[in-house]
Amino acid sequence: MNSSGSVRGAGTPLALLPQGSEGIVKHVAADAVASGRLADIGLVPAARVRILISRPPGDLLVMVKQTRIALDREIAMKIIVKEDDAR
Amino acid sequence: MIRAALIGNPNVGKTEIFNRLTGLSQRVGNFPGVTVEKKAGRFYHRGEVVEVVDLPGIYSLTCNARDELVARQYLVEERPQVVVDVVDGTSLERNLYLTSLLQEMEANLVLAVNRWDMVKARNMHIDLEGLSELMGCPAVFTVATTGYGLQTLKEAIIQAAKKRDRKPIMPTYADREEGLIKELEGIISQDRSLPKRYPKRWLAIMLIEKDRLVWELVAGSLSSDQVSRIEEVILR
Amino acid sequence: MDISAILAKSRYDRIKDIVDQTVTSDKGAVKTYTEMLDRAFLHRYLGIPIFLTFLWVMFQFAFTVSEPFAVMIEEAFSLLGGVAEQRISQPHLASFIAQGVFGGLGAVLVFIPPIFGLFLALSILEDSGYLARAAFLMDRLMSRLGLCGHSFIPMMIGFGCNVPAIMATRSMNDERDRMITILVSPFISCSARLPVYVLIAGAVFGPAYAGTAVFSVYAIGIALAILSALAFRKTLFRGETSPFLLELPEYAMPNARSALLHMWARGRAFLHRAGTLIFGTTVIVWFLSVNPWEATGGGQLVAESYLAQLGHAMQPLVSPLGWDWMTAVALLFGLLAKEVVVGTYGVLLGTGEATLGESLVSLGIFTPLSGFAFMCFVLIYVPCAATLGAISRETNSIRWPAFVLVFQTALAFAVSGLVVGAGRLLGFA
Repeated sequence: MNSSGSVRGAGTPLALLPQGSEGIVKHVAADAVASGRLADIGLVPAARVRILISRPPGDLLVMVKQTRIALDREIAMKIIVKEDDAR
Repeated sequence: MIRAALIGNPNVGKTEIFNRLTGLSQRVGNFPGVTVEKKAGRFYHRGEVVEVVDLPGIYSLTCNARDELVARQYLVEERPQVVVDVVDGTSLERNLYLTSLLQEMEANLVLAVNRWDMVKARNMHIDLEGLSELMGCPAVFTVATTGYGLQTLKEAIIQAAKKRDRKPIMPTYADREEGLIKELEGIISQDRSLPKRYPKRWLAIMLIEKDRLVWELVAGSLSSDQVSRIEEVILR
Repeated sequence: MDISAILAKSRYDRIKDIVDQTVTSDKGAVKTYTEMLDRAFLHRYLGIPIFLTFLWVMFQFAFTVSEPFAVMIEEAFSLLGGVAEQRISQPHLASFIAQGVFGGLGAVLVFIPPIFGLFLALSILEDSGYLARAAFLMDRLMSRLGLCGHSFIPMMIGFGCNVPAIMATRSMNDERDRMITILVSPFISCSARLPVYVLIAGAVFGPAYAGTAVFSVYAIGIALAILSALAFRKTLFRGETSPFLLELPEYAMPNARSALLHMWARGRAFLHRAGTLIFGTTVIVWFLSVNPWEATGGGQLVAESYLAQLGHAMQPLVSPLGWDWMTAVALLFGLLAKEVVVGTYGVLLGTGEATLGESLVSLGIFTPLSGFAFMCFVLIYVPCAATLGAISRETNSIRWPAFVLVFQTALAFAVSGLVVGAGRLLGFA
């Protein structure tokens, strides 16, 4: 469905996932400080994330560990997620 | 007088708990040298006086953010006898992250599981005793907006201040990381002052995380030979 | 994976384990109020209109609803002043108590209704959880304008008073964003400047156009804030912007006590920092206006006072813009506290507030053009001393308040000059 990432273990940047989708974070490709801040609020590998609002080019709203987190598209491009299969 | 600190994530109701504990006795000041507000107050319970310092609402204890650093400095330098961690019962999974960091600092914790009314309203159930046992510290349900649980919390704070011999429970990591930690702890132990002032394991973990301030602290205290050994471990 | 990420993941794994063992939730997800409210407040099309409505309501509450109280306070202090003058026989003391002390107190307290009203409204919005949604809606727009979503709340506070607004930037993580917000905050027209706008606009534009004139001054302020933010972002504070990360808490019914406490925490900064300066400045203005005592006949002939002498000395600075010595003096003391500008005119013209507007026009002190230029000047030139003090404390330096002082004053002259120049070209006087 998507063509980004390698063939094996395909992942998509969080920013490109559609509203309503869910997935598991594969890795975070940001610098140490930004990764740290993301980790502090729960956006770490293996965390489950659900996209509540995504209307490009605006900011995203996601649900992580029962918390609603708003984040900008730039940082969301650096969070690689493996989307769940369509439900 | 018992010295306690109040800490927790933003938006968990910590401020309301602080207000309910200290009421009109609260005074506002600044943490020394920084423009971060420091609120302190006191309460009396069964003959004891407890001074409570409200630490900023934070998600973590890194040195990258002003409030986090201030809270960390306070905890590590002032060493309050009790640290009350206010967590939101409806999102424990995220809230307990800070708690685990506090455990690594060997803080004498009391968990205030707030928003218990919301927990019940959502048909959630929390096994408080189980939580208390697994986290290795007393836990109390509170509803800050009504004041429910506040008396129990005060009691728990006082009890925790008196019983300080508990072996702290804290996160453990995979073998590779634990190995690195042990090595660093070994090097730190050789110093005369560091292990007395700060928990060794916490220092080791901070070094692995390349925390700038802990690095400066340790580098300043150890011999250059020890410092390069630490560097070598960290860079693996 | 980076080692910090490994450690973080281990911690979360352990927590998940603990939570799985101790927390059970009903699998039938309960529809929370938060979900339902967010459906409306973060709606694709309705979200922003709803936000603008809340904003409008907030300002209405702060400025319109509080007006009767402000008027009451003003009348009360006038009354007290009058009583003092009658009852106290020693003329120096009477004047000091009536104009100095009561005048000063009145000048400060008359701002409590609008400022505290705004802060109360803000606290309610914040405690309810809505303000985080507003920051989310505004973040993208603000980033394009050189700011960020986190600057939103401090800027809102700035419409009340710049001092707590600057203090509110403490919660901002990114130093660059924080500095830009601080440097740009003086353009947010605080409530102290509103009486000046209302007075001048009402006097020179008449009731029909006064509202538009005031609104355009606010708009110019916001435009300048945006332009400066963009300029600062490109020059002084280059670099990657910090990621925008914000937790949107569950909605909660704000309770009266914490909203009031929250309001008080912000309003305190105004009273403590700005209030003392306002009071002090009023007393200084009074003192300079009644001395030398004999020459002014105990404060009757202001034209003979030190205040007037000061004004005449400063006149050359402002006459190119079409202003006279009284304006020079008013602006000088406005440096210390904007709230004092209107009061200073009152002292200089010897009239009460009610007829002040007419006097300004009939005495030729202001024309529509010079009046509008003056409003722009007041918008832009140095923020009050209390604000400069706040900037100094929050940035831990003298450099930045000095920069703001020079930058804003220069810009004020430039913009007012432009307004006057353009106006004259178009045939206005």
